[in-house]
Amino acid sequence: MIKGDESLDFILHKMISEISFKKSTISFSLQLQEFNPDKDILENKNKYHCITTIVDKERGKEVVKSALKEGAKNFITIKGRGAGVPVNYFFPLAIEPQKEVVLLIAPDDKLYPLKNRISKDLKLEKVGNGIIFSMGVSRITNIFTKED
Amino acid sequence: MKPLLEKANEVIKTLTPVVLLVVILSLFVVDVESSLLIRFLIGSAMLLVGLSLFLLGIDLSMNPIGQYMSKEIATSKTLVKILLISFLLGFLITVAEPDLLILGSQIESASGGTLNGHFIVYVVSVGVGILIAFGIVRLLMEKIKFNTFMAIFYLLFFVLAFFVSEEFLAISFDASGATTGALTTPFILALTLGLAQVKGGQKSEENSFGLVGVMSAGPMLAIMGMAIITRQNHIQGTATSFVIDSGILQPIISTFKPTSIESLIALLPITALFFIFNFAKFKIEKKEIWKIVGGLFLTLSGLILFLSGVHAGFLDMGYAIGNEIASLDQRLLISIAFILGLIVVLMEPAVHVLGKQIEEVTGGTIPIKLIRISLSLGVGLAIALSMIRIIFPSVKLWYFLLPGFALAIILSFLSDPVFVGIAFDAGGVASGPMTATFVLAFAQGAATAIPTANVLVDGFGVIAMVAMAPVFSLMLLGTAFRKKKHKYPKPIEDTVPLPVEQIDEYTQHHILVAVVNRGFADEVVNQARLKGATGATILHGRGSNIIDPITIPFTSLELQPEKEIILLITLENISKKVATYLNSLSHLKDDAALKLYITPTETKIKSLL
Repeated sequence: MIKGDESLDFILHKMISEISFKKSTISFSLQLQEFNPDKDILENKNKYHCITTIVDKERGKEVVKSALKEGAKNFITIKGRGAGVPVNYFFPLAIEPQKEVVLLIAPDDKLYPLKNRISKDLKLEKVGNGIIFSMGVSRITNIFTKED
Repeated sequence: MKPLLEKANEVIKTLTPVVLLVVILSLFVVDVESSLLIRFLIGSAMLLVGLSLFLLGIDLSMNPIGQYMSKEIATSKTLVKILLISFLLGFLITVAEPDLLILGSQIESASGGTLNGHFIVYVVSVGVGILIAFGIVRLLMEKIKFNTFMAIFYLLFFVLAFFVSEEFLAISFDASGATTGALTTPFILALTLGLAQVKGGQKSEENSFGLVGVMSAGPMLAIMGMAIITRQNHIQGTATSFVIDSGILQPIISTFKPTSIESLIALLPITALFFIFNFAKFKIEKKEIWKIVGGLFLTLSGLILFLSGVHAGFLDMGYAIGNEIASLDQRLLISIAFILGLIVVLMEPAVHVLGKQIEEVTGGTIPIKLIRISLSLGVGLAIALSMIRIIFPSVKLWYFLLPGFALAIILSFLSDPVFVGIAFDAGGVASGPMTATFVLAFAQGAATAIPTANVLVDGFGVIAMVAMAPVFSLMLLGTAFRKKKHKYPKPIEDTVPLPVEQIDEYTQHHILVAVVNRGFADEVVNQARLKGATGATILHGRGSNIIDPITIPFTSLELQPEKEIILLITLENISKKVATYLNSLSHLKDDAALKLYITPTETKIKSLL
């Protein structure tokens, strides 16, 4: 993750697209905003979205499978851990389950079909099965499109 | 096929230097039979295939088994159950270790029959079981620091060392080398990693290592205690003379059967225990079970190929080279021993497994290259010193052993905490099947050629040195690492604000992305929960310091700051409150270098309320 403003963003993306081979690198800019209590939070009006699904370890593949049905491409799976809920075990330890975070870049028109499909296939409506949310992506380089 | 090729590539990198060295030596320096050289090359090919299969199998089977087991242990609701399962695990994997039975019978003959070989195996296994149980409870309780915990055992060990003879000092180390075999080490490593992950928290990295080190202290204390109780002072008998097999294919075929049986027995207890627990508790999906069974099969076939390749190809070659060089030139012997130690240790199966685990746990913050270099240097030095000891009988084993361990213990209090566990593990990891065959045979060959040397005693001492040196060298590295780590400059603030716009009224949630130094994630989550945030997901990452990179002297390796990224999804109406509160906490701002970003997000989950 690199932090930058609009112009730096543009230059970086241009550089990445020049040095990297297509199909092996992807870069995107999330519309993140450094928190400042005096300022309002930006609206999400982007054409692309980063759909993030957080599920238990080993279930990341199911997310990918489910999203493939909707014709999605550009997946990234990251390993993470949940923050844990304290349970009454002998030793005072909070079980921190291993999680997989699947990032998925999708255009505007695919956003809701994909989100619905994934949450239906993985039964995300049920509490504890995982969560799905999307963030705005302001700029993107080397994305696969259907024509590739 | 691709993961297998990746493993093969990894193995080739470590195998090539050894093969090259041996071929050059046998062609230009020493005179060995051509059949032996051909057998060595066949053995190398078997080792390449076997080790690749084995490492892949470990990934597929041992790691998941270790994780399920550790979860079962950690979530026990009574102390008795924790102690019982961990003792059983330690006991069973040690009892089944084939090397230990061989060692037991060696001690039986060395003690003139007063100690029973099988009895020794049980005593050592009980010792390992008790120590594993202690180690696991320590890890979960976290009342005692790991370096203090190890210091207690080594203090006990120093006290006992005064009462036993040098021979038994060497044998007790040999026993610890025998218990940390090709299968037990990866399993215990996986178990430690699983426990640390289940426990989580700020010390999860430090807790991911160290149990192998704890485990290898068990046999030492058990054998020394036994020697004192039964008043064994001197070793009787002589070493069986080494016979180099002739022919090319015959020795390979003849080692195949015993190796297969040994490997099967060694794998059995872990497998059985896993299936019993699966039946009673885990109830894993069928698909997952088949994956693990496939992994176990790969592990077994890989282990058989690897061990028979090593026994048939490397054992005799090591003996022949050691013998020939020792009769040629003693200075050459020391330098060849050093080079041999440098490259052979990297071929140990457990070194590959440990390397992968370090990479996984620290997210690349600790450069693996650096660990490998220190491990190599340590073992190279250890074997060179062993050769000096063989050449000059007045140089005693404990001249190196006791100061080495004493310094390592002192350094463990100065070193970076993650390194303490890795260093103690490295001792057990380095003294694996390659050292026990190739290097040991090399030393025995050299000892046979030097008239003043005692083959039996000197042979035992080599493994003790290999087990000590990496602990020392990695502890040294850890101390240097810590010194460097403290000099991180504060990250430079970039304060370009984004343009301000209105909030989308349809957005229900905001996502807060917090980036902090490693170890502060839990604190951030706890504080955020005070203000009404709920779940959070934590990702590991590392920063990249381009402006003022910190490099390790004489290398181009960079030390990079470790970071944690926390994703917090909060309701629109409280997100500002949470963010303001987090930003107002001075300890997060100063120590954790907290950076907070925010963006609207749409999520379907209403149950987050």
